[in-house]
Parts: sequence; structure tokens; C-alpha cells
Amino acid sequence: MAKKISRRGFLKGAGGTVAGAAVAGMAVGAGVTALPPRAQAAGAVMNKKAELPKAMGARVVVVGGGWSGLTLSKYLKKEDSKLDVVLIEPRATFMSCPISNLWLAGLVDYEFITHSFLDAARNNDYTFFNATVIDVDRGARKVFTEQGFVDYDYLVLAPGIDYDYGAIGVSDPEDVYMLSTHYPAAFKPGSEHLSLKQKIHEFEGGAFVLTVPSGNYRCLPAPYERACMVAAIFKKERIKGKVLLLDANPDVTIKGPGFHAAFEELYKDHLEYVPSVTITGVDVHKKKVTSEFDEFDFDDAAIYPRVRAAKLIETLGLVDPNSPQKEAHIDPFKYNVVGDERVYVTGDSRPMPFSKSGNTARSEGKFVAKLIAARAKGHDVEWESPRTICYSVVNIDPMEAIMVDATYAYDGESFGFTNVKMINDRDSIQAQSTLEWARSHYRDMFS
Amino acid sequence: MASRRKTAIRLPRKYAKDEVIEVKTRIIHPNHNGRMAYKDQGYIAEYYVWKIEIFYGDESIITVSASAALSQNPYFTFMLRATHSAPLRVVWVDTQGDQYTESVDVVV
Repeated sequence: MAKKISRRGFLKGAGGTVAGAAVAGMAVGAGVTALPPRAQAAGAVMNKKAELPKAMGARVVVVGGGWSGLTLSKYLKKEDSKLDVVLIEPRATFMSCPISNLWLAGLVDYEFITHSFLDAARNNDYTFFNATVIDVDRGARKVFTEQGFVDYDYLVLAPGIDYDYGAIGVSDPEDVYMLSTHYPAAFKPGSEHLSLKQKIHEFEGGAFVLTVPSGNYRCLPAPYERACMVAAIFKKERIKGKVLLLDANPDVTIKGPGFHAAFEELYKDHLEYVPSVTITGVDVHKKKVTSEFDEFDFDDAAIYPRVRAAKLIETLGLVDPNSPQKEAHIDPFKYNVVGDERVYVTGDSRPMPFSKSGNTARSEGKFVAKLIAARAKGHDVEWESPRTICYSVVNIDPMEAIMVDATYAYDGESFGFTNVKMINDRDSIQAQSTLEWARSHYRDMFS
Repeated sequence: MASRRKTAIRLPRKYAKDEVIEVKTRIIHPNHNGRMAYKDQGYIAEYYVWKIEIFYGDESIITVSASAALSQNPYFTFMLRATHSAPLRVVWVDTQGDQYTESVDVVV
């Protein structure tokens, strides 16, 4: 571990009598060099107003164009058309994580899950700003991007998740890079998903390892659904391969009977479910996962590590110190950063134990839009529970699915599921509902 | 292919004589407390690990009397002073009377 160097100790080490200005230049120190001139100039770019249409009313800036941010942007305008809404998102194209398992299995095409932010913004009367957020000045109410700053009256941060590879014993940056490039988790849509699809379709046989992390990871049933989809492809293509599903949990975390039935009845020869596997390391070169008790060799893999709130939340100093997944410190009913009613955090960076999934983010987004619109007028609204509706396709021929529908209740100490409706008997009606569900959400967000 | 066992015991890689070491044990076993009913299937019969006994050599050193409150796939760890070379044996007994045994050698 690096020894902590005090300012005094540093000065001594540097010779003791160096002039103040020289120290300031050197103090950037270990591993950091002074910025070259054009990079320094980038600071000046950031410090001018971003070139956006002039705000026509109170401005709400939404950071993150996922299911949460897209819903908020639309419904803020619906709640109050006088609000000026800017959605900041670094990706140029939207790719949906929900339904992506169906795309991996060839049940829907790429266009089904890929959409245009421009359509979303144009059709719903808000501004899309394709930029990356670098910092926020909450005192001056400014969001800084690489293309300049945007003033806000209200700010909503919905930046999603990042991966925590350290939790599975992979912390050296070189190892993290190797693992995340060779065996990406594919739970942040984009290149990771494209790589995974390629892997599945080029697989020649042996063991294909998929993992389920511990904690509140993005979309509880998704890793099990994905295991079914990959096994279904192996079965259909007569590949002598097997999905090895290593679960950190003692059992399937949701819709257990439905998934177990699929594993046993449909994929006996192509899927092996291994519960209670605490991964302690992954050797990319030897293609080996090590756990507390066992070692698992693989021929290919997609390693889903533990998730944490997006690093932006940490960068901005908004992490709840008690949150093991580095989620934001916010009021669990009002979503604003504790002590700041101008800044909100929604979606998968929230600390509440809600499902980190699409329907949850959308129902929550509608509520937070209503809340901010009310607060902008000096009112307030009562908490409403988000709603989790989640279909999982477990068979491709014929296409069949299972589902869960639930809301949340607060018992004075913590949140728990309530009004749970679960369908564990797979059928094609649920599969049709899966596609209808997705279509209606895409339609609502993009048109 | 991967190696997979229902029962497992893990000792530290290295340890010296008389050192206090952490021993980790685990069995893959369901836990049905007998009070859960599934639609059309009635109640699911009680089925869980109710006893874990640990032997160091011939001596029984720990007996765990568990209940339905024990988790599924119970993971049990304890500290052991490695005083002599002998097999360390774990016996899990479930409510249907089935016994599962796993053993490793403590070598000092």
C-alpha cells in the first residue's frame, strides 16, 4: 500500500526549500503530469455555456438516457409543458437492455431494441444533448460537460450502473481490463452485447460460463433468462456445449419454480445450474473461475460481476457511506439528494432495494417527474411505489415465458415486495405479452 | 469440464502445527420448512439439514443441531487449532435420514 505523504513530508522530500510556485507545479505528483496546452484549453471550453436552445422556462437537466432518464424527460414535459427539459447522454444511439436476451437468441431483430434519441427528443418536445457530464456545481447550479456547461433549476441524475470486479477478486486494473474485454458481462447495452452475441454464435462446444452476482444486481431474472436462451441455441444448433450457470446466491433469486422447471425439462443436456458459488477470482489466460470451494474451467464465458451505482455518483460526492454498492445518498421517498431539493437521483443508482429493471425505472420516472413538476410550483406529492413487471422468456421453440408483477411497501424500516403476482407456468401467452410490453414501452419513450 | 461436488471442506493453503485455522464447509442441500405450499401441489414436505457433526481424528469436536431456520446450501465455518495430523470429517444429516460425509486431511 502506498504510504500516505503529508504536505510537510512531501516538502521535506522535495528538498525543503523549493519555492511555492514550483511546488504547485510538482504537487500534481505521482502518476499525474501537468496538462498540455490544448487539454488545458478544454477547461476553458467546459467553462462556457453549451450551445443549446435558450431555456424557455424553469430548466430541468436529466443526466442519462436509459429507461429512467427517457421517461423522466418525457413526463416532465407532460406534467408541465412550460418546463424546459434537457437530456444529456454520452451514447449516440439507444440500445435496450430489457429484451436484449431475446435478441441474443434471434427472437427479435436489432431494430427492435435499438432506437433514436433524436426521435425521443423531437416527438416529446425536449432537448437531446449528446455529451458527457464531467462535474456538477450544486452551488451555482451548473452541469459541466466536455462541450460546455448547462444551467439548471432542477437536476436529475440517472446514470445507471458500473461493474465492481473487485467483489469477485479481480482488482488489478490489467486483470479487470482483460476480463471485461474478453468475457464482458453484457449488462450495459452496446459493445458488450454485440461481443456476447458473436461468442454464442461462434461457440464450438464445451463449457460456456455465465454468472449471477450477489447483491441487488441489474435485473434479477435476466441471468437465468439468458442461461435459458443460450442453452436453447446450443440445443437447436446441436452444439455439444453446456451453459454452466454459477450463482452466488443459494437459489434462483426470482421466479424460482419457473426457471427450475425450464432448466430441468428443456435444457437438461445443455445447462447446469450451480448455486452458492462465491467467486474469488477469474484467470483469463487459463480460462478458469475459482470459487471458495471449486474451480470451473470454461471454453467461453460472460462474467457478470457485482454491480455498483455509476461512478459519476461517486465522482460527484453523492455516495451513501452505508451503501455497499456505492449508491446515492437520497431521500428514499422524494429522491432528492439529502439536503438539496434541486438534485435528484433515479434509476439503478438509487439506494432503495427496488428491482434494477426497466419497468421499475419507468414507473419511478413518472412519479419523480410529477414530484419535480409539483415542487417547481411550490407543491408536493405523496410517495408512490414503483411497479416491477418483468417477463422472462425461457423457451424459444415455441416461444414461452414466465412473469412477475409487484409493487413495494415500506414497513417503517425497509422496503419489501407487495401485491406480488407471479406466473411460473411458462406459456406462449406470456411470451406474446413480453413483446407487447416491450413495444408499448418503446413506443411511449420514443414516439 | 468443471469439478463439482455436493459437499466441500476448505482448509487454508498453508498452516503450521498448533496454528488456529479457519475451516469452511458447505453442502448443496434444499431447505423446505414444511410450511410452504405451491398451487396444485399441496404442502412441500419438510426437508433440510438438521445436524452437522465434525470429527477431528476420532474425536467429535462440534455438533450443530440445526432447525428449518438453517439456510439452503448451508455454509458453516469454524476455527480449529491444528494440533496433530488427522482426518477432519464433516457429516451432514438431513430430515429424511440421509447422511453425507466429506473428509480432508489436516497435515502438520
